[in-house]
Amino acid sequence: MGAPNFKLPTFPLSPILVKEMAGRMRNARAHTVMTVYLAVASSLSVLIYMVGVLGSPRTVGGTGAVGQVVFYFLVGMQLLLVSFVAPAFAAGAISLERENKTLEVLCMTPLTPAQIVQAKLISALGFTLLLLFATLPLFSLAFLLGGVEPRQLVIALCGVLASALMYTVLPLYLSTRFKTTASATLSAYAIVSSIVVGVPLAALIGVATLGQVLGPGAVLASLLNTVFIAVISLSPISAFVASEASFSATGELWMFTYGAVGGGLPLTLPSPFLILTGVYLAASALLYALTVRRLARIEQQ
Amino acid sequence: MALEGVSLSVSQGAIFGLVGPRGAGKTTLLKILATLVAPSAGDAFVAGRSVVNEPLRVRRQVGYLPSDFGVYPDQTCAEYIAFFAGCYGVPPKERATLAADLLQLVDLYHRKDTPADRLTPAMRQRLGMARVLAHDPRVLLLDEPLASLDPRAQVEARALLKELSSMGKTILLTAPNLAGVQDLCTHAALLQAGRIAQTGPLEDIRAAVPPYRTIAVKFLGDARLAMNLIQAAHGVVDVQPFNQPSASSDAPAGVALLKELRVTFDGTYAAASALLRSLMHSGVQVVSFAED
Repeated sequence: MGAPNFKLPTFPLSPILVKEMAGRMRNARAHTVMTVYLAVASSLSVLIYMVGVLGSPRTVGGTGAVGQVVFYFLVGMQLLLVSFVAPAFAAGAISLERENKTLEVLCMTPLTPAQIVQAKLISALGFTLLLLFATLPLFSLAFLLGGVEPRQLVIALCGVLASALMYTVLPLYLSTRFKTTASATLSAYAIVSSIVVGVPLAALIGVATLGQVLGPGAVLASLLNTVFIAVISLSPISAFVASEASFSATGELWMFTYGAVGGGLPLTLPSPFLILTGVYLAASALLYALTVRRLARIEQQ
Repeated sequence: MALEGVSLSVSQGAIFGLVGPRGAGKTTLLKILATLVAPSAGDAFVAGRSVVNEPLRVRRQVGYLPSDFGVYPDQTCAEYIAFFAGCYGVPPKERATLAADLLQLVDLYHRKDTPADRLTPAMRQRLGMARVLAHDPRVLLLDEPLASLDPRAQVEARALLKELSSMGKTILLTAPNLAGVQDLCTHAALLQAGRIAQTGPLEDIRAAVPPYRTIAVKFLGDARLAMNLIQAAHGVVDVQPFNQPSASSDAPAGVALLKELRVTFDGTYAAASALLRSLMHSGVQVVSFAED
């Protein structure tokens, strides 16, 4: 009697997905990005560890602060990656096909626009996720040193994954709107920079200015605070900072309590990372639908 | 280009030519048949399927080769064919064999591992031909398939098209003039400004339309000598200078200026070849000699 013929189930992969993945990993750029990203993340993490732990006298439980710094640094690196590196992976998804004169032939195949967009999205997002997961072992350093709760990882994961999705779908949509990859990439970076850096800055300036102009007032201050929290929740970096600060102060993961700053009433809202995750998932779904619709129109032009 | 009142039928297994000048609507008609452009009114049927109501079914029956198409720079020729075979639902296990067979058919098997973007235009055209055959379509829509080919490659491409026709494929191809489809098509349609001016057997159309072709000759050297030689050649109807550089050109002294003559020609290919030979033997530095 021979050995049982056991085979793992196979799933038909989209040929576009296979092509995109293979093409990406054959490209030197992918390996360069991964090497540089991992080198920077790991060397700086080790540097923080050496300065914080080896450079100071040992105390019981004294490494917790260093663990927190390592954790914040790694999450910061991941947020910077998904905000400023990931868009480049998707910005040329459709526009490059147009530039290479391969789009017409691709549209001629029985693949639907949704299948094409799906494959392009998974390919670009897959590489971003690969980079994110590659840094996961470094997080063990933060947990080894202590000072970081697993619940904090929930905040970080939600923010990073929702941002990764949003900042992949957005350039993908732009690549259907613009004829050249350069235009799509530049537009993607302009929009992402505005959201990540511009929005919290504008919120800070706006609230400070309005607070001074309108003067003290409990109701008005509460309203301003609500708007402020809602606005800073749109940027992954400010949403993470606010959520972590709230969690450290109150130990509450899901809710955010804003103190009576400027004479306002104490305010309880969903934690900024929850707002960010919800808004980004909804925006990603909308942009995905718009991308599919746009590609269907391009097919018929 | 908008089409109006276009009505024609192509019988199964035929090689049918769509002939007309640039902007006549040939490509638009092919794109409608390929389901890439939706007709604003009316319908077209490919292998019995409506392009309006059953576009996906039509796509499975049709292989479309645009006049200018690109390839993926990160794919070899074999991968390029296998990729499109996959897009048409060919199982992964069969793709490599299919790609090898098709590359053999178009005489590119020796280039199967060459990156597709490193092929010459003629080879790329053959690769495109292999690509349209990847899903074994019944109908081939080829937009100016001979345009970018040198004379030898044209002969090979014509032989390939005839072979495909003998395999039962229905072929609809476009060409700027009748010379582009002669010895290849049995029937043709003449498109002018979005309308079909005439359709039927090639002989009938040839009898109704002067078989003049325009040959653009670009060269360096004595324009008068070139013009005299061309006027004396067999098959030449007329010669006119085209974009002749003026005496007050800004070109620095000593830099030779490119000149161009447009030759109205109704001779055979052999006569055109003889004309080219005589120009070159007389010292005219021919830069290009091509049908316009």
